[in-house]
Amino acid sequence: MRRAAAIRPETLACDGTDQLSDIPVLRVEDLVTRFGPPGKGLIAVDHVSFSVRRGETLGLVGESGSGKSATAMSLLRLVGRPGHIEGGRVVLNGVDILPLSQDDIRKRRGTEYGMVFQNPMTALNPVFSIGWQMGEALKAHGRSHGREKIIENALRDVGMPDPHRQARSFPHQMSGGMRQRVVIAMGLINEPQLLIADEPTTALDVTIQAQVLELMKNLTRDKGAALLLITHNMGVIARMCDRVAVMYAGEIVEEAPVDEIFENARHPYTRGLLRSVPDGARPREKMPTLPGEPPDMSQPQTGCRFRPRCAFADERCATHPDLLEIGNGHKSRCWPAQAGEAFDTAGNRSETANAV
Amino acid sequence: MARLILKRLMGAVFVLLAVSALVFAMGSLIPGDLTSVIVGQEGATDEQFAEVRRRLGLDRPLPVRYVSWLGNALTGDFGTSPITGRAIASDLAQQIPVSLELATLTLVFSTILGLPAGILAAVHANRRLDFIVRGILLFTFSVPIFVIGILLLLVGSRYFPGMFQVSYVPWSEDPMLHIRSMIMPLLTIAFPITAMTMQMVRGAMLEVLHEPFITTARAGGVRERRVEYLHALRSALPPIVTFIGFQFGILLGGLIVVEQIFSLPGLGRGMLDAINTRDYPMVTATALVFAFAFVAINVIVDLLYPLLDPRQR
Repeated sequence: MRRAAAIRPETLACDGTDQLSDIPVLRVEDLVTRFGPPGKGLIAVDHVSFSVRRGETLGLVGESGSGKSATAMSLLRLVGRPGHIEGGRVVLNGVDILPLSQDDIRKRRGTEYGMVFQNPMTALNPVFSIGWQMGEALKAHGRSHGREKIIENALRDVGMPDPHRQARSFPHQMSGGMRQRVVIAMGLINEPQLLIADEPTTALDVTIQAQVLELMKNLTRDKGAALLLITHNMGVIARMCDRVAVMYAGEIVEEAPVDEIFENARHPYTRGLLRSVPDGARPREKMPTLPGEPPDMSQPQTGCRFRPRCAFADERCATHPDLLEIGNGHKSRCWPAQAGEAFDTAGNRSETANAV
Repeated sequence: MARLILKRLMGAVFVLLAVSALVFAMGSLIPGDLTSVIVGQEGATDEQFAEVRRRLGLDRPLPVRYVSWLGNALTGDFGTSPITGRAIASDLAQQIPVSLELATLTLVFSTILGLPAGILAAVHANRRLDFIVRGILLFTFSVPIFVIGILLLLVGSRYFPGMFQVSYVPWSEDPMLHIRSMIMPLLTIAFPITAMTMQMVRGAMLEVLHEPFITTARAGGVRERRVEYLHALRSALPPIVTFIGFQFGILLGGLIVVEQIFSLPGLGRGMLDAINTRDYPMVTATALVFAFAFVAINVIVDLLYPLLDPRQR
């Protein structure tokens, strides 16, 4: 594994023609995660499929409760009870990790994919020094040689001043931004090819957010790692991502390259999300919001899940649409979009209705 | 650190002074003072009463009596019991080791058993092992200790007559018999206390196991056993240590029933006897010993806290 990480810069230099870069780091197929007993409870992740290519940044965007975090935890196989993965495949570097034993999956955590959590205030253990906690991540994978040096380098990589001293300090002695840097350093310390970041900047001050995003972008680029960035913030998506997958009510409803999403979104939900981005040019009181609420996931769903909130819904939408390719690398789970219909007029109408 | 110790010690001295004033005042203000016990209810003349009062120093005002009592108490002299005629300090000196030993043994037993049981219950929360552990321990907790004690006495003396020593034997007389005499009281009190420890550890561990930093450790590939027994347990330790400390304080004063059942000459039994005979000087002195133990435990726990939780340093 370590050798693969070491040769990666060369393969990147070959401009993606290499065999290695054709296999995605992560391929998720029909992932289903349920909270509650089989047949009951709620399905938080419903037949989700996507893949992350080497060195790529994929954004997973959606409202709270749309299943983004449940997807991330499912990828790590760390869904807490009563949640459990019910089906699908999570293929990490060519190996489906869902049938693996607990110890096999444990060995892959940190080394093949690392995780950055939402709230740096609670993501670090308050009673251990940060150096000790980073050391745990190294020890877990049998890396005891030169541990202190590795930790100091990792801290220096994330821009910590005086890493030797900082390794001995405790989380409460640091600011939120510094702690998130530590969390990122921990996520990357075993040189994974994929970093999963779940709302990594949501808990931070706006001024720090940009710095932390920039840091993650640079680090993953320098190390050639792919990034799966989970967020509800379209601004973060625009700044960071190559491709975007939009989640709604446990499903992916649209997937496209980032420019395509911003210029030509082909799902009414995505369009609603884009319109809800605060814009300095638009007076605040006229900022449109999405009307209605996401569906109650503990109830069985029929038809398109966005239908009750959708300005374009018609009789077709009583049948549940599939996620289909509608353009080059552009997928949408919407009947009108799949039929090639335009959204413009009705879209404007709903926006006016929501303003004020 | 030195400042913290000083602050805590000063606080402890203040609390002890307040408690001593309170117990002394209560002992003195309860209707029916010592004189009536000594002289007897009927047939005594007022002169006899006054004479006894003067002899006991009860004719002086309360604050004066308190100050002189406190001065003596500080030198370890609690006076002589008007009931038994023995020095209170020497009675206490015999009782304290008995209660201290039983309390310490109980605490060691309950911690050695309750800590792993609590961790196990938390790790297997709401699964079979959790129900078994909690079921057994909470059963012992819900049966009153006088029932357990008497059952043990019956079963022990009936079926294992050689194993237990029913009446108390001091260590200095016969160490082997002493150990045998402590087993039954220990078994009686230790299981309910273990249940409390287990329940407390389980709660503290469960809380920590749901913390995001536990997920961070798991996501970094740390082995599950290590996450549970090192990362989580270490984080849950501060409230657990506080709780065990308080248990010790409660135990010292809470052994009355056990000491009564097994005729152990400890503080609890001494206190009960003193109350029954209205031996107020003895009651006051014993109450002060309890208060001292509680305050001392509190100071120790407070001073341990910064060691356990870096945020308190």
